Amino acid sequence: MIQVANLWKSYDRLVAVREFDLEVESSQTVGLIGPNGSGKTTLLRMITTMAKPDRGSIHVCGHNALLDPRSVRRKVAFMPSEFGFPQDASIKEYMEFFACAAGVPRRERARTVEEVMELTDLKGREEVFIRGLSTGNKQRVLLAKTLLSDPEILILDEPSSGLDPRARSEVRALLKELASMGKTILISSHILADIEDICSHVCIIEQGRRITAGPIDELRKGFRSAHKIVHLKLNEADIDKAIGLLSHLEEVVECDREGCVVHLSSLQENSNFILRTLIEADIEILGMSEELPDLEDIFLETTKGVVS
Amino acid sequence: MKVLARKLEVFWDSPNLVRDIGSLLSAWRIGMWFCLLNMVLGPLMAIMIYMGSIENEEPFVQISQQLGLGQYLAVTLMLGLCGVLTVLIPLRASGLFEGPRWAKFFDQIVLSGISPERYLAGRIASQNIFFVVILLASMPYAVFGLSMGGTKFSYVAGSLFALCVYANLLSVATVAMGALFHETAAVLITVSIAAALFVFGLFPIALPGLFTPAHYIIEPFHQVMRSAEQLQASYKFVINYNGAAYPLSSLLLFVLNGGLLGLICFLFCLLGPVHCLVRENSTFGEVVMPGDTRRKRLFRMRFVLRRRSEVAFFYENRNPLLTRWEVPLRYAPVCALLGTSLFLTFGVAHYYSHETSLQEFAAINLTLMCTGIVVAAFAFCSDRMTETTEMRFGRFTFTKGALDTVAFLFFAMALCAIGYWGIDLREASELRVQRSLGTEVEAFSWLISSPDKSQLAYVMKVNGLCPFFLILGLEIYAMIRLLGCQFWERSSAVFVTFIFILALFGVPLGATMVFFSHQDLRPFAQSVAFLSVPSPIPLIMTTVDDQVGVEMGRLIDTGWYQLTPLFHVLFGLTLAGWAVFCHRKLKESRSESAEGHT
Repeated sequence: MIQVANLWKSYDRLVAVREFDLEVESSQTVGLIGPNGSGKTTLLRMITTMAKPDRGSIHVCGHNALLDPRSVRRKVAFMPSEFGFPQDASIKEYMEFFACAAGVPRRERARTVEEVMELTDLKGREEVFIRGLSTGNKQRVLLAKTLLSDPEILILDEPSSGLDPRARSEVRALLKELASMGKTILISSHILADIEDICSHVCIIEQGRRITAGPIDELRKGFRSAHKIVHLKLNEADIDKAIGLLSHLEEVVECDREGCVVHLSSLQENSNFILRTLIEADIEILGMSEELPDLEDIFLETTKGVVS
Repeated sequence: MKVLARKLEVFWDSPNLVRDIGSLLSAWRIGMWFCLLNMVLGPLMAIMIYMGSIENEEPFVQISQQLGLGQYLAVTLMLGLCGVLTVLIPLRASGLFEGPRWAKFFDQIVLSGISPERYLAGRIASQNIFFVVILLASMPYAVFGLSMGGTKFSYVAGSLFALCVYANLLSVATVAMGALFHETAAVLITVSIAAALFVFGLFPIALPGLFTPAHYIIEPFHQVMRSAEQLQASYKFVINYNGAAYPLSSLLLFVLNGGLLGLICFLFCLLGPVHCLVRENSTFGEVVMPGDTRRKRLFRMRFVLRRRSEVAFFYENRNPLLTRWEVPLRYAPVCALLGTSLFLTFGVAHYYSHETSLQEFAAINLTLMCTGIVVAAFAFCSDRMTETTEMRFGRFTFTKGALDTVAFLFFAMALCAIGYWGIDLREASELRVQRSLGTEVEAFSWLISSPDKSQLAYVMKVNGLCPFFLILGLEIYAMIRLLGCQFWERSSAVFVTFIFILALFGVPLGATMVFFSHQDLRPFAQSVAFLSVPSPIPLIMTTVDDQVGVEMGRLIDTGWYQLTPLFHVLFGLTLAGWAVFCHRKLKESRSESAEGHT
């Protein structure tokens, strides 16, 4: 659905995006994460034809975004992080305006607006003026507007920023529902828990470069094979002996204790060697657990926190 | 029929029409228009009734008596409506770009993929509803006028039709200009031009009637005054055929001309400004120039350039057919408009040539030629953003700069030819008139009969100026193009060129004249006379006017002015070379930054 190849974009001396490649398949939900100023918004704007790259190519649903932006705009709905509204319009007027602009046929317009408002939980507030809405509700209205044209691809730039926990959770639920409807979604966000919850794939960007990309599960696996955290619960009397044995093993990177628990950081995917060592030394194992890395771990591990 | 209905759908299925209907037909807005109209029409009608009946205002009393009070009031009402529309329609037609931009949702409109014609046509269509609202608001006055008796139905119907065409013409012109300039400027320009034409339309002159319905509306007044022999001038276009004069209908001329102008304006609504997205403004809502990272925020604002780039993003939604046919669609109307206005102007000058002396005619002819060249230079120039914009036509790709040069050269050459052969044309016309009148052909023509030597010498001198003016025109054009490669705004390039040319033509001459006019400085005058070489004025003075002033005469005696043509040839060539160099450099830098776009 979206193919980005060797994309470059610079502002004066600042290179915002460099050598960027990205492929998003149909019905995928991809999270774009990166530190502030890493080039996420610039990348999304280029994909949505609102910025022209210096170099590289972008294809959306087979249309070249540089040569045929009009076709791309018809396929994509973009929800920017900063937005405005007409000051003198009610929610319904706003929705009708954009339904007409998006080319929804006249006969279906009223029904489409109603359906979208129902989906986004705006029903019953049609006559409310947008200027009086809270940030969360404004965001909801904007999201509703992006859905009017029934787009194949949804691109959302930080959809949860500035929302309270309840609104965030509602937006998350809505996005999950859209994902389940088979929409292709590309979201940029700082809130990694949301991305982890909504997305099947993730792309990490830093200093305009793609650091890593792929299905979240596979990234987790890859990360685990590099550093695996194991927690062992042992008897108080065995702890020093166990640390002494384990820290001498080649596969163990780090080993420390916290009360009766020993934390190990290992390079091996399989933890059998730990068990074997302890059993051979006749150390009783009271409990053992392996820690799966979350998106935050992957993010912190892969990025350096450098702003371009 | 289906195709036509689909084409017209852009008017009635536009989001702006949907929104405008909602806002226009709200009770308080209708009330507001009623109040506003009463504030204008009420006093106007009262004054006219007062002048036409009570006070001894000779022409008004005469007109009201001859026309009947009903018709007199109908004319007044229609004129009042015309004036109201002149101001209100452009005001209502604005805000299509600036409104969403200020409220920061213009990007949402662009991203919706709506085509410009559909977006803009809605506002044009909604103006007709506004027109009906205005008509309804004026109903009490219409009923009052009708009750007085004597109102001609055909006149009222014709005026309403003319006003409807006028309202549409004004809206489409404002919308088209709003796409090209800032909307505030677009409204100001449209209202100013329409108001000036409205005023001119009130006079018994035929020409303004082509552009304003005021001329048709006030025609009953002119007819009364003409029949009372208070008016000598012809207030209508007349076709002379077989010795008989056939006056043309003002209404028909206005509707045809207004419709044509409206179509041209609508074409520009569809085309929009020339695509101007380059590296520096290639992000919606941002313009980042080299060195901006070191600049303060205040110096990075660039509102005008930001607007242009945002509008350019919007116009990416236009029909691909328009892009394919952009070269003829963009250049043909401009060339046609410019050509027609020049043709009309020269035509009028030649039409009245028998009323002027040869010297006066030559002066008018040369002034028109020079003005035409300068106007063409300003019309066909670009700026840094558009200079290298590529336009495709068929299998060929041209840069806008190249197309501009060709169009300008065509006009400059044509104007030079008209200037050169203008006197010959006058002679031919003079002969034809004399022959048609059956009078003896006098020896005014140096072409046909035995020439008057002094006249011949004069005409040759004047004709010799035409190539010189052409060189000056090319020099000005080279200057504009050179500055266009440096400035981001075309108007800045035009303004600086204007100042530079004035300085080049005036300052050295002024400095030299100071030396010639002051007793104390006169000994040095001969040594500084060469300063006047850049100014073409001494050369023009010697060519067309033998009675030059004393100081100018002294300066001319030095003979330095003879080098003026050479100076301008060299200067023009330098500027042209420099402009070509800058154009190439700009093109290279653009192609470097755009190499990966394909």
